Amino acid sequence: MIGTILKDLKNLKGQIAYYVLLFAVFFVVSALSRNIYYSAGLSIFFGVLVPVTALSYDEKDNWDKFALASGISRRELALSRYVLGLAAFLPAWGLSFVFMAMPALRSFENLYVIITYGGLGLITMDCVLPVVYKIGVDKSRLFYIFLILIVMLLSVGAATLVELIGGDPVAVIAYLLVGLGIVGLFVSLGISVSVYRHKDF
Amino acid sequence: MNNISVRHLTKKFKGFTLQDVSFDVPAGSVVGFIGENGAGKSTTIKSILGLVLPDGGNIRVFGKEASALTRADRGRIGAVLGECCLPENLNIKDLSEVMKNIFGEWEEDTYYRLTDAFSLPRDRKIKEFSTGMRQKAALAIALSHRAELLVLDEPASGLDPVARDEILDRLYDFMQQESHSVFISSHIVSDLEKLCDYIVFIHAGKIVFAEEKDVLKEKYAIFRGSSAQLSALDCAAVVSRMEGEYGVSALVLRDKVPSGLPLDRAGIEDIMLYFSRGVK
Repeated sequence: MIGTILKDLKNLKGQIAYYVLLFAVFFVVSALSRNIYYSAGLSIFFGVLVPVTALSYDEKDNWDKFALASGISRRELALSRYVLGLAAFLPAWGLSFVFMAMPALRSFENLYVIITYGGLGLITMDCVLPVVYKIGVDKSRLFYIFLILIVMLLSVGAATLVELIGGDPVAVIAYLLVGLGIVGLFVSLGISVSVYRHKDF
Repeated sequence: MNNISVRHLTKKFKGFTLQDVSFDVPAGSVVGFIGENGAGKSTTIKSILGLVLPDGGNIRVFGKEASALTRADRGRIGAVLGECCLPENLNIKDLSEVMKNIFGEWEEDTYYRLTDAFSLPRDRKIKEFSTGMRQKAALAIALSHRAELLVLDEPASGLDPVARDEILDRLYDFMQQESHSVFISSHIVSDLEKLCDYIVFIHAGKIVFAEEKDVLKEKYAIFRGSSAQLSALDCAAVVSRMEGEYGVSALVLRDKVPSGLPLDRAGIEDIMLYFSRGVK
């Protein structure tokens, strides 16, 4: 697993600087505009963008063939992209909580928006990775774009809901989404491993 | 003791079936795997390496079921696949760091000795390498984790004779240890003729023969003559025939033709051609 992740990091080295810069810009825009949606929303896409980009390199390089022939198991290979996705998503999402330290942005509404976006980020990753494993990066692009649109709508909807309802129901929904995202990770990984176990390379 | 033992391997694809493939790769031997494009060489190799899931049959590597091989067992196999499978954004040094975390027995010194011997620049990315350089990098990796068995799918395809010779030299070095084996597929039959102890020939998904190279050369010969001369031969002696502009030629069984009949030596390529394109 370490070897595979290390390979991904080295493969994505050129892009990581770009991702960090992108996040920094969104973070500053969020802070200046007092609108955390930009930054929290970007974390959702990092959770999918980074593993899918790594997968597209792997497809081009035929890496999975080499990895399997070298003794890396199909399960480990499938799992490694989830680890990479979480490694990209969690720090970006975690940094969104820094806004809570800024008095102008410190509110329960914003806190629940961040938590809700965390759940949506996990759920997005849970949905995208098995599809990409099944049909490949190229063929899943349409699905990926379609899902981004749905997530954008859901994010806007969630934010509006938080503002309109407020209070305990929103907190419940937010934590429920995170819980769903976490449970979904195991379900999604199970599906991905099953896809990999039946795949010819 | 066989390092690889394949029995009744079957794999169905749309439009192609690998049928009842059986052969062995004995320890201490080099086995060449020949056949036309699409004959089933890569599917067989991928099945051995666990990349393709067979529909039937049995594959044993180092005496164990291939599907039950542990990571450590797989580390005893060095693989070079037809298409380069190395990450193109990485350089030779990056690859060593990655492989250190993949193979338990990674030998960095051996790897750098080989990459230097192959004149592979350490700081250049794989995507900047030529086909030959990529194949050499893949071979350097395969030879740097204490592998006892090399499984090579067209390792020399697209390489010039000098690069091919360099690779063959490394394979000769590898075979200095008695327990080591090489299973190699190639279109360049002349290379296999130099290197191999056994030849396995696959045609349209079926094994045509799996025999010792020297036995093959003793067993078969080429007859050239007229149709009438050929017809005079025992039917059982003629394996396959081809009509040419200047007469007929046939692959024949030496021990079934009358002694004294002038015959040409049959090379592995000739045998392969007669089996593939000849008419019974």
